[in-house]
Amino acid sequence: MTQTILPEDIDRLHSILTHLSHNSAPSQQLETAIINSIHLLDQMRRRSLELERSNAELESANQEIDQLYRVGEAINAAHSFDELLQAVSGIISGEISAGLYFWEGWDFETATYVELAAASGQNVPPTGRRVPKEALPYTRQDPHERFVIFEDVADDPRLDPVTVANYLARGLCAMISIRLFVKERWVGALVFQSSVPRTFSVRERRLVAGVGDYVRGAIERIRLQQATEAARQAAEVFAAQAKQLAALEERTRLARELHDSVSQVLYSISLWGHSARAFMKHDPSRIGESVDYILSLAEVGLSEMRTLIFELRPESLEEEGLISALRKQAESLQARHGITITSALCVEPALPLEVKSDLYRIAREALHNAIKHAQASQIHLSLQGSTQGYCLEIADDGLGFDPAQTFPGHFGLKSMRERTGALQGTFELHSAPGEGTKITIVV
Amino acid sequence: MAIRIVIADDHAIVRQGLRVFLGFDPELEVVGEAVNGKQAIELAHSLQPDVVLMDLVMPVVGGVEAIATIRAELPDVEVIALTSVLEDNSVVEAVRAGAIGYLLKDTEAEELTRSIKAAAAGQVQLSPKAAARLMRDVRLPEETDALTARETEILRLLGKGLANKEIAQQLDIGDKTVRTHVSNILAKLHVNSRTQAALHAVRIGLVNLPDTST
Repeated sequence: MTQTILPEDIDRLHSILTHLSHNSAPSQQLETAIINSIHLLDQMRRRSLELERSNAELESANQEIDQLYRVGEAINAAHSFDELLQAVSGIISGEISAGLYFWEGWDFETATYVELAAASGQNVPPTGRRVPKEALPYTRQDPHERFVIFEDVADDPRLDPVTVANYLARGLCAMISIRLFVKERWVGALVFQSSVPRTFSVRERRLVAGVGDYVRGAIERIRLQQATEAARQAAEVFAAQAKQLAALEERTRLARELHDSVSQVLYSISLWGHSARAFMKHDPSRIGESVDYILSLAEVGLSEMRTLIFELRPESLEEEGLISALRKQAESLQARHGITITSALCVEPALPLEVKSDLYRIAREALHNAIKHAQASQIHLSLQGSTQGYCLEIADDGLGFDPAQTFPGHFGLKSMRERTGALQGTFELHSAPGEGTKITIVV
Repeated sequence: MAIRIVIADDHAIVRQGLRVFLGFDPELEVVGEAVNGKQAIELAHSLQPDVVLMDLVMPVVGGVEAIATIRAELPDVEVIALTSVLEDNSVVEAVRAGAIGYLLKDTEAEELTRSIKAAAAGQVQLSPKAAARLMRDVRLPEETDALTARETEILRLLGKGLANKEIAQQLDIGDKTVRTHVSNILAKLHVNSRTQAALHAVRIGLVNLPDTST
């Protein structure tokens, strides 16, 4: 339908027909036909107008749906409340600012204030600003209302004076807002506000109502993301603390080791020094003996220091190898405790650094136990490769113990087992009171 | 007669060094060496030494536990804790367990022989610094039974660092009597050692610390 038939056209047609009927004598049939045509034409004109109107409406509805769809996509892509607000801010035209408010604790029932979480537009208050609940008596009138519109706050019979005063104080003269509910709890609101009274078109009302569901879904998602992010950060802090704690434990162990080794050696050197001085007075022939002792103790001290420095540097194991580390450990323990440690060590094994590090720690723990707890005087340390893998063995002639017995407070055995388990190796322990102890680990 | 000493230390090099060094003093005699607290208790029983030099960090039975056991079972055997700086807390525990004194392993060697002799004589010797630290950290019992006038006098002298023999001379009574009084004082104060009794004397004002400015 390209050309509209206007009422004037029909009127003109009608008058022509009337004129015709006066000047001649048209048949009744012709007149009826003409009048029917006129009615028909008139009907067609009405239909055409209706169609045009509905076409325009369809076009507008399509635009609305399209806009809602785009806003919805932007809302779903939002990662923060600011982005969320940015996504919806375009749906109301003109001088308008938008704000996302949340009740304290995300619950109207228990909240004492409402806080601005995000804002966009002109003259917006800073986010984080709070408005006490008692400043908004209107909110209590019908907390289940979902959609609120005031076109002129100063002159709206629904509003109480307190709320009006507070709205006006915040430059809110007209607003359209969606209250946000999550699982039946009123958590907050999306508010579009104007500093002058204004009306909101049907289309604007429909758009605001339409984005409500998107916004409800998004705030839950964003809050979850924020909670997840907070949890991730907490986990990171925790991991850092755990790392610090591990470092502290290692430092404590090294301090003990230092105390247990080097300071004892130095003390002994000082005692021998004093003795040497006494020999000078009482028995000069024995001075040489003291000096020899001092020299050998100094040698012990140096070897202890080398071992400790070795352990202080994690890269040492990589640079010097497991075999060298085991040898140093055995030598320093031998010197420190006056015991015999024999060893049978293969060439540097082709194992990953972590495995070497665990083997080293297991061997150190086993040697320590043999000396401190079993009071061994002879220890045999062996590391050999075979087709089954590498076999670490520590055997002593000490007191031995009943393996079924537990030793509260002594975690050495447990940690050796755990380390072996972590390497997917086998751990065997043979011991009995009075028969020494043999530990065999195959990885 | 020489002062009989048992050395308890799990470090062979320290035992050896101590044995040689103490050997120069004719008044001292090392009669036994223990490698842990358990052996120290056994040797204290079998050798009945005058003084045990006790390292605090030892395997099997630790030094503090060994001190408590020896003081409970053999009250005549005095124990000196031989420690290093790291074991600061153990020092307090050692005194609480009944050690008459403590020495750091970095102490001047002459201090070692002097302290052993003082301990054998039952003398409590505390430097002002040590006393201040111990006053702060050694929990002294709040509840004490009333001492007699004579016991209070003996506690005062004990707090001044006098040995039983010196107390006996000063009060003109027998050594044995002093020893009985001292045991009674320890029992009434519910403490294990003369050190704790001496600290108590300082706290109740019987004795003034010479200098607490440190």
